[in-house]
Amino acid sequence: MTSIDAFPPGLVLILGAFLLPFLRGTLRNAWILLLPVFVLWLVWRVPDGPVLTFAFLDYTLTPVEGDVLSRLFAIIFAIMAFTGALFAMNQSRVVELTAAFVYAGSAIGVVFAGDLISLFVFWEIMALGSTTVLLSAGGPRSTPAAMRYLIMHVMGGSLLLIGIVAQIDATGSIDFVAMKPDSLATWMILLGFLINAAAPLLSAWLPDAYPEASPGGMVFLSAFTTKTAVYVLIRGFPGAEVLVFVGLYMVFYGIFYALLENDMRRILAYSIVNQVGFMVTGIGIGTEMALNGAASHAFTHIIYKALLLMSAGSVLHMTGKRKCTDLGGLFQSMPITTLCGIIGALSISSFPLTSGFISKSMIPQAAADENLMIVWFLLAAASAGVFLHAGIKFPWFVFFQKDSGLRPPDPPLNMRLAMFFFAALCIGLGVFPGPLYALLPFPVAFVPYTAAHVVTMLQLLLFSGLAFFICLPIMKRTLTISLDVDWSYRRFLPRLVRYLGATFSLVDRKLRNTFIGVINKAINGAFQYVGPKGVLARTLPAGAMMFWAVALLAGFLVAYLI
Amino acid sequence: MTRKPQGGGKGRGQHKGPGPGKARARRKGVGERPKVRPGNATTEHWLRRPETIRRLWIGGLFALAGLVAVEAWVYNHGYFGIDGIFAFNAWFGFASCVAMIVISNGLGKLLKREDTYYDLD
Repeated sequence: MTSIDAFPPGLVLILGAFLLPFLRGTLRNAWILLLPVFVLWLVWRVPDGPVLTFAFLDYTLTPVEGDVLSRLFAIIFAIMAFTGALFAMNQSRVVELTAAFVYAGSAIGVVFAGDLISLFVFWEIMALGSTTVLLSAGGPRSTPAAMRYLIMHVMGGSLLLIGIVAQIDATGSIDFVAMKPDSLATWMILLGFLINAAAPLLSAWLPDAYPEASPGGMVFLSAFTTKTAVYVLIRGFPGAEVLVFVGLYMVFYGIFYALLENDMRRILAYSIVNQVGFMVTGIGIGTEMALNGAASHAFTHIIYKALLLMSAGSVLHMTGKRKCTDLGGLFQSMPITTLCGIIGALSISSFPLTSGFISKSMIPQAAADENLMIVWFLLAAASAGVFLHAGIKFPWFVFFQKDSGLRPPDPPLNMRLAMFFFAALCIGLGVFPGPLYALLPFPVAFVPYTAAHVVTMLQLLLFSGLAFFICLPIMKRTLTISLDVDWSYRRFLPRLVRYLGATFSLVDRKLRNTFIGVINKAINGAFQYVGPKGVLARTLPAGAMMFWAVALLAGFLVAYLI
Repeated sequence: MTRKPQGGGKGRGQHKGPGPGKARARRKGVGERPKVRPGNATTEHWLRRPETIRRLWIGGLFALAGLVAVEAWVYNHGYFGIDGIFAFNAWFGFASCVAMIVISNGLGKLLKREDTYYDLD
């Protein structure tokens, strides 16, 4: 091991990001592309076991500890940082790219963190980095959305911190090892993790915030927060039964909301919740097959989701429009974007020969192996639903359907290259799953390409497609959003505060007026007696003194005589 | 299975656009039928022409039928019994999608608001 390996790869990306504002032109572009590649090289070199340790208070921190699972996630995070930067380099402001690299670096930091304290530190940097990515989009909608996002993640971070402190207090160890949700401490940690996974009932933060980012910003955002949550759940809570229910809820939440949605990037945001739901379900099942499925699906999901969002981002970049009702017919002038969008859509749907097919299928397989019949049927229905809401709905309404009359060209070269790269990975991994399988945490005992599996999957998907086109007349896009739990803090609570404010200010004004009235009355009353014209001030002071002196003397005289 | 409508592409310059993903090309054509508008067949993109769309429907339905028929040779044993019956995935995929669309439409009646809903705050 050379001295270069002592640098935590995540920290290199974080610190390297702060050079960007000082670089210009070609040098900056070169740094944007080389830094993630260098970090990928560092990630690749992280060996198994603790790499870096130092003493902090009474504890020994391990900010870098390698194993198969952390390396798998760190590799895809570094690849994502590279491709996201390639896509965003011509349209993002430098603050956005800097924040995006800090965000990506802290995500790599999380997956290499060997103890709960290091994990928490990187976890919080991640929240700050992602909020800055959102804020740098700069718009009347994105700033409030970024603030809501930050509040949600600060809350999640606080739960996590409470859990970590309680857990360290209970066990005396800061090691990040597998836990069970059986104490307040571990429940708090689990809740902190689940908020980042966009689990119910707070899933709404994701579709609320991400679509308000810039085209490049959302590509970054889609990759790291939810997938680090998947990573910590795989590591921290494998086989926790509650996750099966949480995951299945997320799967269907994503489908139903995405079917109702009109904003193309919000459709894809709901679909992130849906896909993470598959992974969370797998983690809840907890067998080696299921955990392999969750880990590999996180890997492939980052690629095809980024591809879908780059395709949607290209449309937004070239047309300035984001609603399905405004789009349509773009395949005629944006063939490359359409093609890449379709490859992403096929991958998310687990079409044979794409990356989704070789990763997601392991999760239903694990459910079948464990004889979880209801889970298996729900996952099968959900797989059909994915094709419905993301596999067909997104490309159909954006690139086909009616002719919107828009004829924008394909996006600039760097954006096309980023899309090509990830499209090639989607197909490449789908055709040759071997290299990915070799990176998974457990030996892979799964053969994706059997005739029965291909035929059943194609039947499931293509008949879902038939259902889509038959039901098309009742799926007309409307200029609407759909209410979610965020209604409570975006509409109900502000209105409640305003109502209470308005009501209580009236009562308060009345009370104060009454009080002031009483005081005024007292002053006026006193004024009547002691004012310049009051009873007690009618005589001149000298006369009054004389009068009282005489009265006093007379009093004494009377007293004496008596 | 990989049938793709030919013809009419010449001169448009962009007929290759949605070419790959043949299954997709077929499917999106299928759905275009209700959207057909009387247009000038010579200026309309070949993929938008009524005749192409009709062919895509026919090709698509043949492909679906073929996909079901092939199960006679590819034995799918299923895991739980019921999923081993003939063409289970075909009807299960179709039925669950229709159910999800109907349910989401029902939810939509309850949850949908105009998209400026929060802008007023």
